[in-house]
Amino acid sequence: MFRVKKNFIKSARQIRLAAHERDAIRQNLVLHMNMVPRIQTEKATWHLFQLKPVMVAGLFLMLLGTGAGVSFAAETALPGDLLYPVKIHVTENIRSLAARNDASRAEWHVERIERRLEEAELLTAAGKLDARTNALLEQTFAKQVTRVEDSIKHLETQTDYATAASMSSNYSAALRAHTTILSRLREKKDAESFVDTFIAKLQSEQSSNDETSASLNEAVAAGTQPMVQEAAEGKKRASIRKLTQAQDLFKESAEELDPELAPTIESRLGEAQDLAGDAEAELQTGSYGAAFDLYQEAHRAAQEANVLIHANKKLGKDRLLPRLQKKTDASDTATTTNPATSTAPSIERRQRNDSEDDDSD
Amino acid sequence: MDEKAYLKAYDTHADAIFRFIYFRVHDREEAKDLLQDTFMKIWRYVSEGHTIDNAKAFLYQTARNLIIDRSRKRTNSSLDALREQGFEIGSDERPRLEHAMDADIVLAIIDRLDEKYREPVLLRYVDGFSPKEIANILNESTNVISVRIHRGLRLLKAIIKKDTQ
Repeated sequence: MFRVKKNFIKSARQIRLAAHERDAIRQNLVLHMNMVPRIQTEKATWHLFQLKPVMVAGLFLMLLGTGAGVSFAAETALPGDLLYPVKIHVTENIRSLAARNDASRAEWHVERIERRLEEAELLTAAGKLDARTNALLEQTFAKQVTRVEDSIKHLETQTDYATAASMSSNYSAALRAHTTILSRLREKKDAESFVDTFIAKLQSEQSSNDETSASLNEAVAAGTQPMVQEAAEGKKRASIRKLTQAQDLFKESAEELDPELAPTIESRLGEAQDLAGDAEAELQTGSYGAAFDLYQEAHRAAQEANVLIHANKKLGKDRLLPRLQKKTDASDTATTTNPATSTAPSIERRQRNDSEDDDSD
Repeated sequence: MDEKAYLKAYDTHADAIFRFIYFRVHDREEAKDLLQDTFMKIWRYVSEGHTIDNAKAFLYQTARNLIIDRSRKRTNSSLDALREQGFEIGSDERPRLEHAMDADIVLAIIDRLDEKYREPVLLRYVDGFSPKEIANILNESTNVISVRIHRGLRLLKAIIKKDTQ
């Protein structure tokens, strides 16, 4: 194995640019830099969003006075809509107050992250993720990330490591599933470069959450033997339940799913099944820490499949899409380069392609 | 990222990104074009006032997106084209396989790995990413990536063994 690996790596790394090729591209890049100078971008602002929550609550009450259905309307609002601040500052905060305990509060915070990600998907699908809505989404997403992290940390300080690990795993599943959906949308829609930035943020968040998950799993495994066994068995029940639920949902929803996404979901389900099998083997040999870890992974994979199915269904059927598409393009003030570029051997061809891309927008 | 940092990023990563692209598009000229596109796209992004936290990861992610865009627009050639040109791994390649492989052979062998294993193996051993970084790029968990790298290497060994018998 060592020789194969060594020869393979050695040979693969021989592939490189010739000095003249490297210099030619560098010269093109310098030329490009001179033609596209750095600019100071104006920060996107959205005045209504910047209102204090108390003022938004006032607005909400005023709107309540105008008739029923505001709460429902706010629930379906997207960044850029008048009622969006009501949704994130009022209705969602009221729901937070209804949480029964720390675990359900953490669960709700993960759900709120999902809501932000679903909004990003709906905007991307409708081609409405522009500089303004992107700035707004990034702000609300960052705030929500802090809430999730704080609630997981809180569970950790209460030494409820198993619940904290479970929340961290659900959070990871949500991030991964929505990254997959956003990447698919980006491919399908030739979405703006904002989507790339947003995806990069999700990936960076995933990376940091993976570290938290690993340390929480270690904390669970470091408990006394009966505690670890109980945690592993609890996780077994939870992962089997989640897997069955995801498999049933997959069967029921088969016709509603994006045919290109369905194999990814199927693969996640297969992975969950395999991991659960490996976990069971560890459980049988009394390696409860390893069993917990693997059942957690199985649960995460099944949860990811679940989120993918729900997000796919929502995106495909959501009534907001036609409404968004009917909006005028007047609000599309951002002019960014289409990321779906074709290849260019020279600056001239590159520019020609850019202008063709711009025309097609 | 200013002009100096941008050109430094090119000097540092150009070969690695070129290799990353070449292993996926199998065409030297096209790999050069995509390398140039990758860096131009990064500059446009920077010029709009955005900041980049991790230049290496961002470069790979951008290159990967461009490769995906390209694959949607064009028909793949890769190994089939190599075969049409008369390239096959046969018994006459045995001595070279046992000692060192040339680029075409590496390309042909790696192409026979399932995508699921090919990408993590390339990112790990050719591009030098850690399993955690690969997990981030491919949107998988670190555990899954570690398993795929291990299984990928095992399959790679089996392919080479079979071809040299």
